[in-house]
Amino acid sequence: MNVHEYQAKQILKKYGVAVPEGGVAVTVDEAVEVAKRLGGPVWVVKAQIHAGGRGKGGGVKVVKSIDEVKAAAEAILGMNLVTHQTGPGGKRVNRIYVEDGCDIARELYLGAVIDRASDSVTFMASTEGGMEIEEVAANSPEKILKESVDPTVGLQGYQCRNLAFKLGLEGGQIRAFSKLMTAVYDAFVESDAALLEINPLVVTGSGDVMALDAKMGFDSNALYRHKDIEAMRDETEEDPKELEAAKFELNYIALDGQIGCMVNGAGLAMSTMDIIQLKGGSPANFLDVGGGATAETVREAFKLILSDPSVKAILVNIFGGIMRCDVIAEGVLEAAKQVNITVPVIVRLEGTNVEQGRKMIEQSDLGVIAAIDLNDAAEKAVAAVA
Amino acid sequence: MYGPSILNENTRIVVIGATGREASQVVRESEALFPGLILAGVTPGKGGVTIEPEVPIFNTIKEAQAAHSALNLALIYVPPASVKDAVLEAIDAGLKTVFVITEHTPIRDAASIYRAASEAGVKVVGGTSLGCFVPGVGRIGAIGGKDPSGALGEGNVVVISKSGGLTVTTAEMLKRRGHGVYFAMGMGGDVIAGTTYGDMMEELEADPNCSALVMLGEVGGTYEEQAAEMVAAGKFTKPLAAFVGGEFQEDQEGVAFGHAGAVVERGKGKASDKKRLLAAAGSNVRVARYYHNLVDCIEELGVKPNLADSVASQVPPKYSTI
Repeated sequence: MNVHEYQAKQILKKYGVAVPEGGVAVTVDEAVEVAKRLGGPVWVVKAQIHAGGRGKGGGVKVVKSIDEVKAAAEAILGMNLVTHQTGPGGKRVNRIYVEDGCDIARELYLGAVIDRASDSVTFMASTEGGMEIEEVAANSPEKILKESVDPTVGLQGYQCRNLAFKLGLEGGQIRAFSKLMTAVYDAFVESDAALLEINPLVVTGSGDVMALDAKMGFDSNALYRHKDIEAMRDETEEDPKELEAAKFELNYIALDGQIGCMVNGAGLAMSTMDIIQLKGGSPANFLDVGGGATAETVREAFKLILSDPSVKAILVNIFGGIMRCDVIAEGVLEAAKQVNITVPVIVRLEGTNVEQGRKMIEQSDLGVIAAIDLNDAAEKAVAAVA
Repeated sequence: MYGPSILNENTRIVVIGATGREASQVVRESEALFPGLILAGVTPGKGGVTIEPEVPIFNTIKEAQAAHSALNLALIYVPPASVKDAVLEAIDAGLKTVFVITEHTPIRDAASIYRAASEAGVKVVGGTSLGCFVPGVGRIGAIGGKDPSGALGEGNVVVISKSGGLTVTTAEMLKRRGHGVYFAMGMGGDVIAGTTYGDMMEELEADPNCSALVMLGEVGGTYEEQAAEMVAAGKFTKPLAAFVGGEFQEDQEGVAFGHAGAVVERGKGKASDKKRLLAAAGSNVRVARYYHNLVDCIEELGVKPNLADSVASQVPPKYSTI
């Protein structure tokens, strides 16, 4: 689960990470109020969406008067912000964050991840603050500094100093950076974070070290022990189809292709989508109906797939000994009754009661295209949208 | 002793969280298949109960051990928030193998488990493991359902898979073409897996019962890369057929598809990169372009069918095609 910048900063601040003062606003009036409270003389008005690259897309403005705060808030609230991470459709801005401007002397990068090769928290730092870390990694990997933390003893002072000196920090900045990095580590571990980025981490004109931006993502399996973080979830940032799917315990992820997919089992779903792609098609979604699907969940799954206007064909691939094919067929037929199916449906069924399931579908007037195996199903689906 | 270290003739199981719905069903089914393999169950507060026909329940693992000194494997079915506690209890009790069937274990807990197990020399399989099946020897977990022999024939190919569903589907696909399995194991698709391909490969290289390995990989993490490194270093020289799912999601940075670990992070963990590395690792490796090509790969590497009487028409219809 991801949170907004202002929420990540709230969490970090609680652990002692220095961040600029600020406040969140959902209306222009609120933004002005926050700005008055902060007092100026420089403010930054920032769009709050779950995507990077907001500055380049016009979602961040530095302003020097209350009138300018107002104008910036009016421009950003409600705008459709397009960045390299939002996709071409962009995202509507519902919240803004107004914070104190700061006198930036240097921009650095500090990130933390769970390194899957060593199963430990690894810090990454770079002097190239403000740039995408992936870009730095691709173009000048020598500029990425790393420190892996031994979880049994935790982050040590020398590791912070290793990074601080390599980042070119000096004097009191070394201690300030070490304090910040230690606080970041504590926040990361204690909140079950999966990802954290401070980009940029700035050194101010007066030598303070501060998180100017913050991005955090959390292990969704650990949210049960962090009710405060769970409460930060912003459903407007999520795909409405994915939210609907979650209600029926369906694992659905929207993609931008044309072939809607309904499969049982995540592994089989991935393999099914791979073969669609390798045969020249593109999947419109990932959808695992699981092993215990009922006719109701299958019906809802079908409706979800059909609610995506870019779907031009649907491939149903059910395989296994546990899944009952008559249940799948019943769900598909029920969905067909409720929604007008206007696209070709390719069905490949194998499993318990397969003959019964096939018969139910064949005897309906759905015009379903039957497939004998995965290869056949994928080829038929790709042909159907060509 | 026939069977891999994780499940062999000496294995004796205690099921943790045994009185839960899924666990008690697995206990009954497994005991019908391999009587005497599961000696005891543990559910705190339910000590004294019996799961029919005859698996006694204890309050703690130590109590179970006092009654059954042969116990050496813990099969974990507790809820996600209790997994760490259960595994540490098993390690403390001196059990040498732990299977975690539970899904959704928090990453931080999995990391603690992994460290504690490594220090104690305990093999933990999972979380999100489907279990393991060794034909003729035993079954851990629900793999293969009521009758695993329908999908899993007896032979010498080893199947190790991140995906639970594909563990059985692959074994069935092998059987249909006449290849039996030495064992099939679901290692789970979590961010941190206790036992990976690489952890099993050294043992498999030395085990004469293993003729070949079929590896079902997935986008995300570094376990497939580690396996490729082992092949490249000459530590695994037997035929290895691999498929890595998730090529379609190369551009879906940060999105986990179905399994917690199936995610491309900062451009790393792509299925196509894994496939390329494995294919280049050694002449004993074939990478399947499509999932259903895996058996062709094994046969290209010279592995001969051992189930002479098994042809497509004799396999039950539910497993007839993929």
